Parts: sequence; structure tokens; C-alpha cells
Amino acid sequence: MHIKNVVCPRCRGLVVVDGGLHDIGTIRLKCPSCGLYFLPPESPGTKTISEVTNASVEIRIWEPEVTE
Amino acid sequence: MTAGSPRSLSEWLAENGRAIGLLQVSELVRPNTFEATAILHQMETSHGAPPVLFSRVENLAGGEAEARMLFNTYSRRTGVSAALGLTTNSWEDLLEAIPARSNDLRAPQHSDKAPVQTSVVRGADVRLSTLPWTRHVEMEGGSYFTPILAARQPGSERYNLSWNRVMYLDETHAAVHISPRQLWAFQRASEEAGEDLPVAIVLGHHPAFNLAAAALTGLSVDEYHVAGALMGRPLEVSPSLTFGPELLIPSEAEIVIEGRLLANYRVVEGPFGEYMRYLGPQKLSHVFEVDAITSRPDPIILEIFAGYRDHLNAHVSIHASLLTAARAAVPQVTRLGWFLGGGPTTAVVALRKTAEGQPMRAALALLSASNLIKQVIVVDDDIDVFDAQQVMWAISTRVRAGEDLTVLKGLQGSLLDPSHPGFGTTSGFVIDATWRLDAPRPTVARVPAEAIDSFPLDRYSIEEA
Repeated sequence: MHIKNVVCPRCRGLVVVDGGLHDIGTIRLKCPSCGLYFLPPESPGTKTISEVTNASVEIRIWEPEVTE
Repeated sequence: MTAGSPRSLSEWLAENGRAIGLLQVSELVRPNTFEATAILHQMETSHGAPPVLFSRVENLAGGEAEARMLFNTYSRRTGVSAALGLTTNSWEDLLEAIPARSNDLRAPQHSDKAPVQTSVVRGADVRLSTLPWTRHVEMEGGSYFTPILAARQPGSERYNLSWNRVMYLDETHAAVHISPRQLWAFQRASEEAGEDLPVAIVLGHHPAFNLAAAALTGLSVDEYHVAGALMGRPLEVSPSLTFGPELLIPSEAEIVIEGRLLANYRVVEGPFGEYMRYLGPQKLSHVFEVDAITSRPDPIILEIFAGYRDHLNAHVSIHASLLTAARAAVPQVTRLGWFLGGGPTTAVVALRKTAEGQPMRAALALLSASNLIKQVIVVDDDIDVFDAQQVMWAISTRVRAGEDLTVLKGLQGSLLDPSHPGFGTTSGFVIDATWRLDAPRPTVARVPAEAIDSFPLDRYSIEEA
């Protein structure tokens, strides 16, 4: 698993992220330290969800804030 | 083992607690604040990584959970041995015992009465925060369990058991990391049919049940049968409350969370402390929706001390499966080892070579048997495969890289390997550190044994100069 280290914009905590997830760019990461959801600021946006999940169907992203 | 073998974790602990050196912490402990793992970390050095039962633990909602928690079941060889009903303290004896036991497949026994369904919470009453979720290591992405997931293969009567990391999301949802093996294939088949996959999350059972989940078995093998084989008695199963006979759950489990892996959804999950002793990164994982939580009276949750010895030793059934695979290809294989750093990623195999080419064939058998393995070092059987110094001695003195090092590209890797680029391929190597059969073997430089016998130390006055 290719890793990217991303810094949380609120608490400056480190978030260790899978490179594939990082490179999608439109999915919010969750900071383990302060719980902030944020988009990776330096993502190239070069990956798709289906590439990263290797799923054969359409995939939606589950987030507590979105579904509650 | 006999029909009198323990059928549950509670029975197993009552029988084996003293033999495995079980310690108990009686104060109220908050696993979600790293309190449990801080205690365990200190006990690695102060007490030699004992199994520990936390008799009072706080749940995620801040109350006292109606459960106890057992960590470090596998941290010592005595624990792994007792899980299999054995008394050996030899890792190699365990590796020999597991394949022999695994061949004694036992069909599960159907039971109308499931102790694990004594207490039932369903529907709108479900609250995952009533359970004592754990944070293991720093920068972990949330609160976790390390349970066994039981699932029936779609369109079949066969069950798969897998050991997964499960992260709390909200009162009725959890995230599940699934490696691309059997459960992953089951979920994908359901998802392609537009359906959720019914799953039972098992929080605590006989420790051999968990080892069955870690075993490398073929797609045709029902892992409920393997659980019976390793437990030494048929696994008792009952219809789940949510899915009835469509999903049979282990009757003697401590706690079962019934639910479904949702089709078409993924969620951000992680990081999590993995067996390679690195944080497995935050990633997209599957979403589990809860339908019911059932438990037996006074349940005990079996939890892994993630990233530590408990975690690596729990791979013992994989270790045994790989040794079996190597021997099937090359009967001259004698031993198989790996090291604490990285675990199964790099295997060391010893053999009594009778023909050139056997080292590569044994290595390829290992590489084919599991995507966990990417590097194989093959040594002669005079080398102790568990001693890194001896292995490096063999590499330093018996290898010519131009002839004996083979780089393999295009391998499927493990998603937990930090050097591996996701679903892309990785590369590995084989080092043949065996002597060529036609090469004269140099004599090892050592003092004659007769001289050591003739001049024992206690004959001399030895003091600081």
C-alpha cells in the first residue's frame, strides 16, 4: 500500500493515508486526532473511486454527516 | 482432543488460565483511551507479554460494559499451544500439529439453543457504543475491534471465517477492512447482484476458532469444518436471529453482531496498527450495518493487541499452511521461519537439498500459496531459520548474487505492505543461499569438541584483570 502523509489543517496532526485514496481528491479524509473531515489539499485528482476500490459497481462514500 | 474439549472461550479460560499464566486487571479500564494497551505495552517487558483479562472495562458511551476483555491470548507459545489443546512450548511442534489437526475436518453440529442468543438487542435498540471498543496504538483512526467475521458464500452452503479490523462509525454502523481474498470475493459477488452480504461479527470464541479464521484454505473448504478440526470438536451452530438458516452463527460465541456488508458503499477507515508494526493507512473500506447484537451471560471479548507479538503469533495457522505448501512442492523442506519485523512478508525456508532447482521450486510454492509472501530466502538445513544471524551468515557466505538472486516482478502483494502500491503489482525476490551440490563445502572454523571437554572452565581461576 502506497502511503501519503497528510497534515490536518486544523490541529496539524499527521494522517497516514493510502496513496490511492489520497489521489482521488474528492473524498474527505478524517483526522484521527481531532476528527476533522477535510479534502487532501495536494491531491492530484488522478484516481477514480472504482480504480481504488477495484469494485465493479458504482460506489458511494458513506459519511456520518451525510447520512445522519 | 475429545468431545470433552472446551466449547467456548469461557470454558477454555477456566481450563487453561493457570497454564497460560493468565493475569487479571480488576480496576475499571478505558480501552478507548489507550489505557488497556498502555498496560499491555508495559507488561511486554515487565511480565513477558502475558495474557491479560480486564474484568471491568468502559464502553464507548462512558458506562461500564457488560463484558470482560481478553488480550494477548497468542502472545506466548503456551497460549497458542493451549488454544490447540496441546502442551508443547515448541513453535515447530505447533507448525507440525496444525496441518495434522486441519485434516480432521468436522462438520458443524446444529443446535436449537444458542447461549450467545441469551441476551438480544435488535432494531432501534441497537447501540454499538454499549461495547468496549479499543484504541490500540497512536494515530489509530478510531475505535476498533479485531473480531472474526463469518459469512456464507453466496449460492453455496460453505462458510468463510476471516480475521478483520472493524472500526466504530456510529450506533449501527462499522467500517471493515477486507483483504482481497475469500470474504472480499463473497462481498463482491453479492454487490454485483445488487445485494448486501449477511455477516456475523464474532467477538470472542474458543481461541482455536480464531486460528481457523487465519488458516489458508481452498475455496472448496468450509471453514466452520476447519474450526471444528482445530477446536477438536464440532463447532455448534444455530440460525441467526436476523437471517434464520441463511446465516448460521456459532452458538457458543461470546457476542455476535448480526448485520450486512452494504453493497455500493465504502467509507474512510484507519489508520490501524498492523502486524508489520507499521500503521496501516487510512483507506476506503467496507460498511457494515448492524441488525442485532446478541450475547451470552458475562461475555468475554477476545481482542488482539494490534501491532505487537499477540498479533504476529496469531498468524501461526498461516505459518503452518505455508510450511505444508512448501513441503507439497519439495518434500525435502524441513523448516520455515520468519522474523518479528515484517512477519510473513519474508520467509526463510530450510531444506535438505538433493537436486538443484529445489530451492526455487520451494520458493515458488510459498509465493503461490499466499499474497502475504513476497520474498523468500532458501537455506540448507544446518541453518536455524529463526536465527537472523545464521540466515545472514548463509547469505553472506553461500550466495553469489549474479547466480543466486532472482527478482520476480508482477506479483500480487498485500494491501497492508507499506511498500505496495495499492491494487497494482509488487515485486519480490528469491535468494538461494544453499550450497551448490557439486561445490566443496568449507569446514566451519571451531575449537575441537574434544578440547572443550578436556579443558572445562571450572578448572581455571578467572577474574577481572
